Amino acid sequence: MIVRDHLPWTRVWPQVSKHLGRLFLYDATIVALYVFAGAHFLAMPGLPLTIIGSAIGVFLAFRTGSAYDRWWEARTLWGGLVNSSRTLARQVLTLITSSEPGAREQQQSIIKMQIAFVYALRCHLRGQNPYPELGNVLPEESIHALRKYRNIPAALLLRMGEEIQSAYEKGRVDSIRLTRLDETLTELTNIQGACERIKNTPLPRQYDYFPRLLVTFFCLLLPLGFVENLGLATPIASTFVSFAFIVLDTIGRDIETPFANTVHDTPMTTLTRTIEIDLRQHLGEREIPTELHPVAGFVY
Amino acid sequence: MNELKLLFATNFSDSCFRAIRAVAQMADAFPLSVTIANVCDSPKSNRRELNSFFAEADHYDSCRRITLTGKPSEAIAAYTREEHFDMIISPGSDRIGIPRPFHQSLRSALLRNGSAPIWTTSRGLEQADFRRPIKTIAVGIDGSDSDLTHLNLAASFAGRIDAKLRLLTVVPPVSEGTLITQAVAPQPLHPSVAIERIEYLLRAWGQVPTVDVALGSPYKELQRMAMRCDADLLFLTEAQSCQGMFFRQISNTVNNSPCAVISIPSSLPARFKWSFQPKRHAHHAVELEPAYA
Repeated sequence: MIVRDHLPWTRVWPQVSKHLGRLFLYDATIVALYVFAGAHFLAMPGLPLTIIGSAIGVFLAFRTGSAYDRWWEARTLWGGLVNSSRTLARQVLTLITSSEPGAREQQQSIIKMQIAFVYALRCHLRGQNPYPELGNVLPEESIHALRKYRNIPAALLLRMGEEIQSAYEKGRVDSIRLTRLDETLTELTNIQGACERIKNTPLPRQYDYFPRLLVTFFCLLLPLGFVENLGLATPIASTFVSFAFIVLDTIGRDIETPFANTVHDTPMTTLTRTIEIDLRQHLGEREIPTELHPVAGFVY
Repeated sequence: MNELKLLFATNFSDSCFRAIRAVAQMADAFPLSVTIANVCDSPKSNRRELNSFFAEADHYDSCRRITLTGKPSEAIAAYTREEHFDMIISPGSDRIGIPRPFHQSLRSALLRNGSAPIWTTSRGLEQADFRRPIKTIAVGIDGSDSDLTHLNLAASFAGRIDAKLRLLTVVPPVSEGTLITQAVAPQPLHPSVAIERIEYLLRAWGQVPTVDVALGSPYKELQRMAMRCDADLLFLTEAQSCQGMFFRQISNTVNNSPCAVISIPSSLPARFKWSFQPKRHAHHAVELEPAYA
């Protein structure tokens, strides 16, 4: 996620440079034909362009809005994950009786599995291998057991459910508290499912294809509408207007995939660290990892 | 001593962020010691950013972060020699959208300095699957004796993780117009000759791995062959990795590779060896020092 106020030119330009370069050459060709070769039939009135431009603007705004909805939903889900993680840790520490031998270890085990769950979910969404990080919170045999599963976060939720069930069987938690704990696990399952839905379901391809096609078509028409009035200045004006439309299209494409392992991602690494710090403090640990800060204007 | 010592050189670019997935993959296969280095003018200025970059590595077996000063290629090369790293992680620079004919790539400079093999990435990295273990390692060879260092390193790497080794070689197209050039060039001019030369080169190995031969430009064909054989990692020589005037730029083979690339500097000592061993789960059929290494 970009948090810097000033977006450097070098971030936008590479994405649009090829397209704009080709359009500038095309515009210059139109101007050369009109001005120097007398091809006056190329000029077209400005009114149709205004109408087409407005229609494309609405279409692009709608597409960017849809992409932003996906991005914001992803952020909201991870905000919910922070809350649910804290809730689960609180419930585990307060609802499971810790006076008898082994109960404290069981509480710690469940909370560490929750830390592992958020690591694993991040890696699952970003296509990253989770095992090196899990080694920090889970014992070797648990990690080895997880290697059998394709969906590691779901397997961890199952393990947490089994631990809570075991606490119930040992009389450390009653049935009402068990239900509460299970509800929190269900919340976590729902959050994971919603993240997977965003990850696996792209924005309808029509929203991707037609804006691009219409923007290109519009940019090709622009110099024809400008050349009569602007003459030799047409390539500059046309390229500038094209830039605005192309950037709008690019923004939508950047943010439509919030788990694509880019700087536009939901800041999952930072949120994971926040959860880890909170949960380790709940456990009373002294060695707490440090908070993360933006790197070159990006929170990752 | 059995850990993989990595130096991750970063300028906090997007490519560096994307490369994290590959390091995580290596961290799962090998005991890893990763040093994250940023070269800057003032060591204090970037410390906070450096501490927050690649936060995942804080949970790895061993991770430290350092700031270096000076010219990036020289500072990194000097530090690599000093600390004896097994590999430098140096992803490509982000695109800036304008041609840079006189640009000198940091990676090509590091290759010339020859301090360690360089792990690098292409623009197609987004599509690469870094969750699965490395199963196929491809090696680009041209049949010359200079291939031996990178072949041995590739074989040793493949042997450690029980990956399949594929040798890729490209025979340049021959036409009447280029006949004179080809007559003095060292490359074989026919696929069967190319295979014979590879077999001769690897006569000490006993069993020669699968060899893929293609006709055409090495810069185009190597990446195509790597894609066809579903390679997870591609080993290239310095000559295959660089192009342009005085070999100052990274070649299209690297830039368009479908998988991560390890480039071996030509000046790397022939006795250079990796001593890291895989983690227990990473190898099923144990073959730590293959017969052909």
